[in-house]
Amino acid sequence: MRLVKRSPWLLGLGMLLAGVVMAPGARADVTTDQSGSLVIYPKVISDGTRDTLIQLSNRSNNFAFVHCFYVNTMGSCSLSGGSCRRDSDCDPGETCVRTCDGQNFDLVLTPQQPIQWRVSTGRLTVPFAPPCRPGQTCQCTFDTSSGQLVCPGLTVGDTNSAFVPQIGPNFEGELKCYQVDADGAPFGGNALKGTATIETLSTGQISEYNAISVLSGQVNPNRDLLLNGTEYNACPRNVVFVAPGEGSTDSFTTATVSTEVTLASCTELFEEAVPAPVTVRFVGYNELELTQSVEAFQFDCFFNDRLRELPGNVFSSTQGELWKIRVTPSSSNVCLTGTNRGGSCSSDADCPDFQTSPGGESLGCRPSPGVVGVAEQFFFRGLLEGTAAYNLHQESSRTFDIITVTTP
Amino acid sequence: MKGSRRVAAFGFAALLGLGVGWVGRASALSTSDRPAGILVWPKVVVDTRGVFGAPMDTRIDIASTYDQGIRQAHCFYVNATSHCSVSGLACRTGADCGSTGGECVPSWSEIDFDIFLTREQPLDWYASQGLAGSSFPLPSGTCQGGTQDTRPCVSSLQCPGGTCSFSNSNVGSSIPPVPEDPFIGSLTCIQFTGGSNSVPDQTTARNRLIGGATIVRRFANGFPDDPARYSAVGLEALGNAVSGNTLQLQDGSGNYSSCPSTLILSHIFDGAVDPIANNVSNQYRTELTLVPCSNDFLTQRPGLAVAQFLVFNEFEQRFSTSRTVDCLLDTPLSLIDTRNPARSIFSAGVAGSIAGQTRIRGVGGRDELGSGLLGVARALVSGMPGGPAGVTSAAYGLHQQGNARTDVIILP
Repeated sequence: MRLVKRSPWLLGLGMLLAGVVMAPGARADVTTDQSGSLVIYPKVISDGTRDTLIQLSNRSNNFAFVHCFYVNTMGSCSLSGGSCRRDSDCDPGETCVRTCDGQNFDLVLTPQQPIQWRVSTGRLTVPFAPPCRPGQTCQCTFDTSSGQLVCPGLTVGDTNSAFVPQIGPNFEGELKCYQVDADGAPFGGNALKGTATIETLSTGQISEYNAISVLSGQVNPNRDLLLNGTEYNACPRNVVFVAPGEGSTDSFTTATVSTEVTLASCTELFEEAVPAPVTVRFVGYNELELTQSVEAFQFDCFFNDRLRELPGNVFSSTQGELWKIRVTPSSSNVCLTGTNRGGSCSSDADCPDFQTSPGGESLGCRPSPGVVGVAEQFFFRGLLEGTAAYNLHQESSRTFDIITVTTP
Repeated sequence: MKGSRRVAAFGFAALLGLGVGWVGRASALSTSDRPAGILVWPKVVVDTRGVFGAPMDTRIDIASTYDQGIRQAHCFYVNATSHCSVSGLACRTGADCGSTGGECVPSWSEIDFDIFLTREQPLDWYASQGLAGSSFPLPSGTCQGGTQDTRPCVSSLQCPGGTCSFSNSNVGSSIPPVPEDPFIGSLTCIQFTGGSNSVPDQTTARNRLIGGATIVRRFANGFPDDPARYSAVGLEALGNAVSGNTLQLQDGSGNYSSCPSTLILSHIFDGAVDPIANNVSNQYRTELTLVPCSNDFLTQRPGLAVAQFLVFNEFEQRFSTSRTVDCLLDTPLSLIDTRNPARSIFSAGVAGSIAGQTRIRGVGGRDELGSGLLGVARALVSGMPGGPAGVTSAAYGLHQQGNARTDVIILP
């Protein structure tokens, strides 16, 4: 996270040795307990009620150059332009339109370096904040001119610009960071590790989860990140999680328990600035071996809602006290871009005006995007709520996803 | 940062490094996000009367991802609760024993039990309560054929002319409550084949268990409850049949994937002010729980390892310390290396920055048992307006690196 002044040949030699000695085992799936070349924080909130603390660290003994995208999935009402998460947040007759725009920034992490930042404020490069001292309070300070945080740690450079931009209080979405080389091309170092802490501002309740890591194999340094099990590991075929029935009563606290599930698309089209159309199936099994499902559930790039908001509230406590829920992306093909975006297809011809990725991949008719995600439980007693986030389990993998990135 | 991009040779050498070393390969590592054959919950805590603070209990869940039939989980609670040598009361440190209670003496014991999960079935229970056989969701079998066809049964004697089928029941399951309250310990569940000759499952239906735990603290009215949830750590069965009663946790020729060579913990240094609240009364601290991968349940010997800690701050500086893990270590980070948290290398004042990364490596070990470690972390923020003593918490799993170690679990 500072200007690199090391010998380039030594740096290169270090990378070589790292490749020889520390080659991490690359499975064909993503993970939440190993470092990777791409890390996904599927749930990042900065909406004035909650804020998120991001931690990102370099697990390797080499410098790690990182390019990140915030994806703001907060929508706007089609006519009034107001902020919305779903159609019901808008006036009758309006729809909530999500653009899933990316906002990118760069980082450089020194060997083994951890960093942190608050999403709403971001973090400034300078002025340099000296190290904390024993007996003194250790905290970040606000830069009065920008409102951004300045925290103890190495500086990136000598310009008074944020190394992490200020996002403000109208953000709901995800953060994706991938490792690049010194020239900004995708690079397979498998050095990145992340966690996110979501905090409720009024009560201080915190939820923490591990970012999802995607290990890489032989990375092609173009602007297509292929999650195909060869270049980058593939997204899961299913994600699975256990949750109490919606509205069930916790026997120890007597709190009412509700679960929020967040799903982020593995496919992301930053270059084309087009939201990925996702279709998934929810299948739940309760403790009595009974099954409920939600079929062909569609969303654009990101889903974040309580289980009770799923059609039919099928995972309510009246249907079962405990649910194991499996989320499976559709096995059908879908037009990723073009005038039939989101429509089913059997070939590119069904996707008029489809686009092509920077690396030459067709973004017409492709398998429906995969998903990764996180869940969060809410314990309600009256107006008070306790929170606990947790990672989803994963089963098997699917090799179809692609992330197209913009020019560095 | 832009200046760094002018480093001309970086790309060449880095690509060379890639070509030589970063070839994807299969490996077996412990996992917290995939179904597995062994699940470990490193931290199970119970204090329902609030002896050590707010009343607390742990809600444990386990589920089968197998859609064809019953999976058996053979489970071990490890009780690592310490006791005062004179009073016999549970304690965390010597301070809990006061001036007359004596010393706080560590102890170790285990109890085992079985859970039979039906197809895709999830189950949960509070550690303080357990789940009696009759309280399971599907406590009985079903008569097939005969005069009592489709009636509930627990034995074929109840099905004249037919048989009692247990293909979709939890018969045989019983989860005891933890043996004492307050309690701290861990839980390990191993997938067995079930049936009359049940053995650790290395069949094609292996690795079908997932689990999690929610540590729940209950507060009085007016304050929110504080749940903290983590996923159980899994060790995948490798398909190599178990010989005798010793489970080899070793990549390649072993029975289960090896425990990680190194655990990696991301954390905020203890005493650092929460960057979100940014109020001096809102300070972070992190509790770390480590358990040995190895355990000898046959002769009741817990695993032992010396955990070496390598701590990095945001200034590219590093610090180190070590601490013995005998059965279980559950401690605030800033009490690992000293009794004065303000002087700890895990203290923000000493470390100098807000965020830290700590690498943890187990060495040493006891006899033939290995020195692998598994763990979980719990971040706490003090001074929050929403709770008495103002502490809110969140649990999360540790990262891992490397698999070049061997551990064993010896079954009774």
